[in-house]
Amino acid sequence: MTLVNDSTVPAAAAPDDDLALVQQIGEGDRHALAVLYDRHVGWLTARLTRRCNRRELVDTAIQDTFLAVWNQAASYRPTGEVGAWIWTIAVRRLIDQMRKQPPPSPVADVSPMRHVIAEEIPLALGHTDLGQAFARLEPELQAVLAATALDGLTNAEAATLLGIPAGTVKSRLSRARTILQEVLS
Amino acid sequence: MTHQADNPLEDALARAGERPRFLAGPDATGPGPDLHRVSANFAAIEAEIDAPRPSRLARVLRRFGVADTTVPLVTATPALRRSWIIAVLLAVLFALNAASTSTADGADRIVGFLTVAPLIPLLGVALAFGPGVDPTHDVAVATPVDGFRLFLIRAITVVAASCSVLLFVAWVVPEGGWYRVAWLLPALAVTATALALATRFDARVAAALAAVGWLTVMLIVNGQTDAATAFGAATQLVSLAVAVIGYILFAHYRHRLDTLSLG
Repeated sequence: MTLVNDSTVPAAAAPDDDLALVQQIGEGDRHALAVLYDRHVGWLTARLTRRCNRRELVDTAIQDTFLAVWNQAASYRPTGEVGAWIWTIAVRRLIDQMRKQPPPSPVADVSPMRHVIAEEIPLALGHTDLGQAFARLEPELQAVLAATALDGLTNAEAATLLGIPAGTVKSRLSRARTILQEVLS
Repeated sequence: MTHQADNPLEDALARAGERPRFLAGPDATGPGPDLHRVSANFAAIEAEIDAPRPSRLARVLRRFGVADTTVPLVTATPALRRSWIIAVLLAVLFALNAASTSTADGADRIVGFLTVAPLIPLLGVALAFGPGVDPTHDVAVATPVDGFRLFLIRAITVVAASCSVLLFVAWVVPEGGWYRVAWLLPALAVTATALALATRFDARVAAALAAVGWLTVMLIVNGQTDAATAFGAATQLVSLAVAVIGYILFAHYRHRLDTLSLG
């Protein structure tokens, strides 16, 4: 899975190199974009696919994401990891794509986030008190928590991702918080 | 601790002291996407980067929901070029200025403006079609394009652009009151007449005929009454009628446009 066959750029570079790559992209370096793409497209595709299993939407979101990286690299101010920056762009581009689609039918997938809950939440929380409390929540509540707290989406964006009304996101969030609060205190 | 109660999950993530591990990326993968898909996506990204950037006007049109196939027809209209708009603006302003210095009479000045104004969109329409002036003429001839649709889109574009300029001039003119926009319906009437004639003659000939017709009517009317009567309610109603009839004839003989005017 390598688009760039150039020995001057090590494939497994240190994470700091992401920042240098973004700077080079900001100066219009197409090669740097290829390297960055190569490095991040794998996990990005996997994580977007866990949130939306429609391949064409994920592909468009990925293309839009790296176009945004190309256009915004010059004005990028490092606040965290480059991967996190790319992710915040990607998840919103995915939601833009989903917003253009007709709404799901009433019997659609119960929780589009179930793979996220099964794979990413344990990674993030592990066997902490919070992780165990989270595991005991109902799946719908887990889904809205994962979409808002984990992906950093707004209520409206989470509503699009999950295919439910924004008001439902709000009420489920407050229910989830009440339950977590009780369990943890 | 109250903050923790607000959003325990976020708070736990923040307390971990670093960005959550899953955001670091590469360690959170399943089986990666296949090489073909990865390459295809990157090819699409590069194609998009290399694509020529659409003009500001084209982007605005798209924003307002104009179809992608219609946008080039609109943006290629000569009357939308900045040089054309500035030329029209200067010509009208100088004409106004000349009229005011020669007679120093506000009424004459407004009559001059009202007489000239309808000719501006007409001129734009005349210069929107045909070899030498229409940058897409060769393409239009070689393409099975609907001549009626092309004419209509172009004419609407020209009228919209010209009327914007004229409205600006009307706004600048100090006197005249309501009569400053009395050219609007006559302009539509003259343009519609030109379009109707364009189903029978070349677009430039049609526009010239319409212009001569308009000036003749103006000469006759002006010799007999003042500006208030000349552009009063009766004239406005007649103009509206002419505009509607002109459009109906234009639409009725639309099939001629495919062979005659573009050929």
